[in-house]
Parts: sequence; structure tokens; C-alpha cells
Amino acid sequence: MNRQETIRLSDLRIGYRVRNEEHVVAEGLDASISNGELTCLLGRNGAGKSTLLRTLAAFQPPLGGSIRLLGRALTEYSDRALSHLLGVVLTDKCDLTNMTVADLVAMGRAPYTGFWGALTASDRKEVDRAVAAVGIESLAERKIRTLSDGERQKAMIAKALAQQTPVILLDEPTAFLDYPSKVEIMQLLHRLTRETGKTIFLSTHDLELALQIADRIWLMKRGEPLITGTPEDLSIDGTLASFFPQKGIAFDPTTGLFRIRNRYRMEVRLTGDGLLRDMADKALRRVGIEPSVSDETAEATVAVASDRFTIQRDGSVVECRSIAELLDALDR
Amino acid sequence: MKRRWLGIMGLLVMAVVLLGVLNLLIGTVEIPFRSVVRILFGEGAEESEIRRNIILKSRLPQALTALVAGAGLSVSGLQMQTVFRNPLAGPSVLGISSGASLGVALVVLVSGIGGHALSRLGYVGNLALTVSAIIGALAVMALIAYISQKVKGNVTLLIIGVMIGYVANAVIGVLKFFSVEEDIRAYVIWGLGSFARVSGNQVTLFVTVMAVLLPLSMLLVKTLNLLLLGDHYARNLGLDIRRARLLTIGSAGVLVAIVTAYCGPVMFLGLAVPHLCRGIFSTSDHRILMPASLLMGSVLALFCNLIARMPGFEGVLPINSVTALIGAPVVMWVLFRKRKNDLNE
Repeated sequence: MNRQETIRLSDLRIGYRVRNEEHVVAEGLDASISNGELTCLLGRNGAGKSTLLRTLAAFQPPLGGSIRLLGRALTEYSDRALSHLLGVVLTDKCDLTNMTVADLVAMGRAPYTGFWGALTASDRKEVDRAVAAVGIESLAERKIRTLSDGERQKAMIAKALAQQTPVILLDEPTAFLDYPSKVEIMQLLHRLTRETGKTIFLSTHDLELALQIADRIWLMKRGEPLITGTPEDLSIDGTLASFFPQKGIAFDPTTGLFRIRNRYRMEVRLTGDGLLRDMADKALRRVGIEPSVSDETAEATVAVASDRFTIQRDGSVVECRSIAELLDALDR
Repeated sequence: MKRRWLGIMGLLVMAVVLLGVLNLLIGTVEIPFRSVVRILFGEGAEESEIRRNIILKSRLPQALTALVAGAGLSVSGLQMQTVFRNPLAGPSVLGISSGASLGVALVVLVSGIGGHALSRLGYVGNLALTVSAIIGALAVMALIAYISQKVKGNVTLLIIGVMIGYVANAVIGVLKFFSVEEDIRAYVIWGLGSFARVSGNQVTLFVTVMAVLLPLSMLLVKTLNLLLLGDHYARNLGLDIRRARLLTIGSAGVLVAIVTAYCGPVMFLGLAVPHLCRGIFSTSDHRILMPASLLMGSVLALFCNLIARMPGFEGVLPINSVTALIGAPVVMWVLFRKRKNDLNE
């Protein structure tokens, strides 16, 4: 697919203006977003993710600099024109008490329907297509309030799809979802960029998922310039490792993901291979024992065989049948 | 439109007709059905003058007033609840009814202070009452509409509306303090609300105005549907939020202003009917809810009027007592139901 730049930020300054007084949230933002790609905006609370998203959606004006959407300045578009170019999924609470999924998705057709908002045959087809694209055909006649959070989020995405815009912006679409739903939504959005060539841009706190699924990530931090790139490039040049310096979280450069870092109280030598070794490795780290390959500083040796774990410590040998037994024995 | 909805809509139309006829038939003076029909079609030459007066100058105007007043208040209540995304918003919440009350209070009570008790002026006094109520209500509405363009939050606007109501009531309180008892009585009676006070000539004007305004208010259905999604989503779907808010508040405000001017502040109908319709039709689509609220409002107003005038209640019960007795349980039912839904979620 032909990748093209759909959105460009140049020296953008975002924030609020209260009685002619500017409250700058972020400035000097330079970046671009391309179609057919999933771009994820990461940053801690207060970094300005939501402000940036609202500015991109034209809900609030930029304080300075410019945003160009499909070659024209965002501020030049009327709300009506934008409704054909830009769809949004927000964290706003809606009054959807009596609305069905089909009703909600049909709202996405509002920019195309006439005075009374009645759907034509082609509108209906577009609604059906959007519902099918997110895989909620069986929920179409259900009331929104009876849906799970993940299902509701899919319905909202279907609404944005029915709007048939080249760009979709989502504000924390994975917040408040359980883990499988988070993965599902992210994969769905990634798939949509490939199938439809749409530009999809979202903000999220789900670091792990974004690093695994996003085509490009944007890192936003208060008072620092915006960093953009593929997760892998940012991993290679050390940006990711330095971006989230926090106790208890360590960036693992071999997987390009973050892992929880424990303080180790003991070191043991771990031998063997295969799945059982990996599991033993994981379990030991979890309880604060650092597995190592050298035996110089190790207090004990754990040998992993196909059906048992053998602990050698101070000349004594203990055999364990499960990870639970192994951990108990090591603590004794 | 689903067939079930059409069915209920048909039932509502039938209920309006049936209750309208009952309103003509039932009263303290017994008039047979055939006489009523003859009088209505102008063939009542052989009917007694008294009967013709009762039907044409009392029962028919009352029924028509209840019909359009109920419809207007309910449509306005639905618009308010949607635009403020608040299930308890109603015609009285924005201070518009209070504005009307203030207008009436100013005229009734100040004229009393000036030495011309309005309560003795008869027809001219009645007209002055209506005009002052409209001016008061529209003044508050214009203020609210102006503020709605300035402030962003709906809750802020709602609170400002309530505050305006308090101020109006405070001014009324001060006026009452300086007024003669006779005038206070006239004001209190107006405040009780009634479908019966609108007399012959005024009914024609009232019904004509409402017959123009009610269809106009129906033009906002797509706007209202989009407003359900909240300002951001609605704007993203191409809706001009400021204009939408102005039009909706304007439409709801004018309806309340005019109904209140003619009937006094009628409580509960505007608040309760939209909830009733949402419950019965189980939809949030205003293409259904708007006509449904209009019909249901007429049905309930006619029903309340009938009860207020039942033989046995000599004279006429204040309509507010009847609407509150019916409206309050509906509001409570909605609250209980909402609580259950929250638990389910």
C-alpha cells in the first residue's frame, strides 16, 4: 500500500487559553502520521496526551504552530467538512440508555444523512459493513447499556468506521478493559489500518501492547521534545530504556519490552534447558532469587531435568517435583 | 419505523380523541352526547343557551388548552432533558417558569401598590397577565440563551438557570410583602395553574400559536439525536453545537413561556412525560420520542383536566395538584428503575 503522510504537526504548541492567559501543555511538537499505519501515543498522566488528541480532533485550537490534515491547515476546515475526514472515539460518557448498537453505529452516518437523519439503503449497507468489520453482528440489536466495556468500545469503533473518514483518532480506547479485550481492540485497530488503509492514531497507557502492536509510537513527556519512531528503532537506540526510568521496571533490550525488576536477595545457578528451565527462571525471579549461569557467587545449584528439579546446596541434595516444591525447598 | 411503535402511536392518537370527547361530555352539568355533537357542529339552535355556553365557552376551550399545553410542555421537557443530558431537567428548571411568574407578580402586585388592584380589572387584567408572563419568561429565556453561548458546560448553564429562578422568586417574595392581600390572592391563584382560565378569544390565539410552534419544534430531531452522544461526538459528526444548543433552548423556552403565560406554571408534565415515553417506546430516537411526547403530553393533560373537573369536585381542582399526583410517582418510578440499571451495569 502507498504510505502517505496524512497529518503533519509543525512546531505545534498546545494547551489552553483562559482569559488571554496561555497555559501551555506542550510545545515544539514536530511529527507526522501516515495512512495504513497504527500510531500509538504514549506518555504518563499529565504529559498532554489528551490535549494533543483534542487539538488534533479540532475540539480546541492550537496555541501556535500548525496541524495540516491531508495537505490543508486543520483550522481551515469547517466542522461539517471535518466530519467527513476525521472520526473519533473518546472517553466521554454518553447518554446511551435506550440506544441499540445499530442505532449508535448509524449515528456515524449523520454527516451523510439528510434533514431528518433517515438512513438510505446505502447508509444501512455502510452500517452493516462497519458492524461486521469489528465483529459484533450478533450484538447489533442489543442495547448499549447491556454490553461489556470491550463490546461497547467495539461499537464506538464501528460508529467511527461508519463515518467513513480517512483518519480515526482514539483517546485511550483500551482503558478500563480486561487484558484479552485490550489485545483484541489493539489487534482490531491494527488490522483495520491494513485492510482499509486508514490512518489510526490513539493514545494509551498500555505500554507493552503498544510496543508489540503499533507501527509507530510517539513518546510524550512534559518539558521534553516529542520522540517518534518504530518501537524497534527506539529500543535499539536506547530511547525507550531512558524514557521510563522507574524503580521496579526494567527495559529488556532483547525482547524490546519492559519487565518488572525485583530486588534479588539470593543467587542460584540454574542449569538445564527447555520450557521447564524457562519456567523455573521466571518463578525464581518472581520470588527475588536471581538465576545465573556462573557458580562463583551462587549459593546453590538448581538442575532442571525432564521430570524433576534437583537442588544442590552445601553438599546436600534435594529433589523437587514441582515449582512450588522447588521454591519451598530453596527458602528453607 | 417499527410496527410496534406505529401501533402505540395509533393508540395514543385514539386516547387523545377519546379523552377530548370525554372532556366535552363530563362535568358538573350533564349534557347528553347527541346535544354535544349538535352544539359543536353549529346545529344547536334548539339546544339551550346555557348548554351552548358550557360547551363552547367552557369545556371546548379547556379541552383545547389542555391538549396544546400538555403537548408543548412535554416536547419542551424532552428537549431540555436531551440538551442538558439531565433526566431531571424540565421546563421549570431553567428559571423560565420563574421568569413568567416574576412578570405576572410585577404586574399584579405593583399595580396593587399603585392603587389599581388588577384583580378588579377583569378582561384587561387577564390580558395584562398573559402579556407580562410572556415577557417575563422570554426575558429569562433570552438571558439563558445568551449565557449558553458564553459558557461551555451544560451543568454550569443549568445551575445558572436555577439561580435565576431563585432570584426571581426572591423578588416575588419582596413584592408580596408590600402588596395588598387581594392581589396576593390573585397571584397565588395564577400560580396554581389552570387550563380553565383561558377564555374564548384567547384560546383561538393560544391554539393557533401552538399549532405553529409545535411542528417547528419537531424540526430538531436529528440535532437532538446527535446531542445524545455528547458535545464532542456531536461536533465530530458535523453538528454546530452552539447553534444546536441555542435552537433547542430557544424552542423549549418559547413553548414553556407561552404555555405558562396562558395556564400558569404547570408542574411535572414536562418532566414526567418524556420519561414515560422513553419507558414505553424503549428507544432514544427523537424521531419517535418527539411525536410520542407530544401525544402523551396531550393525553395526560386531558386526563388530568378531566380528573380536576370530575363531578363531585365542585368548582375546579388546581391542575397542579392533579399533575403532581400523577407526575411524582412517574418520576420516582424512573429513579428506581435507573438505580436498578446502574446495578446491572
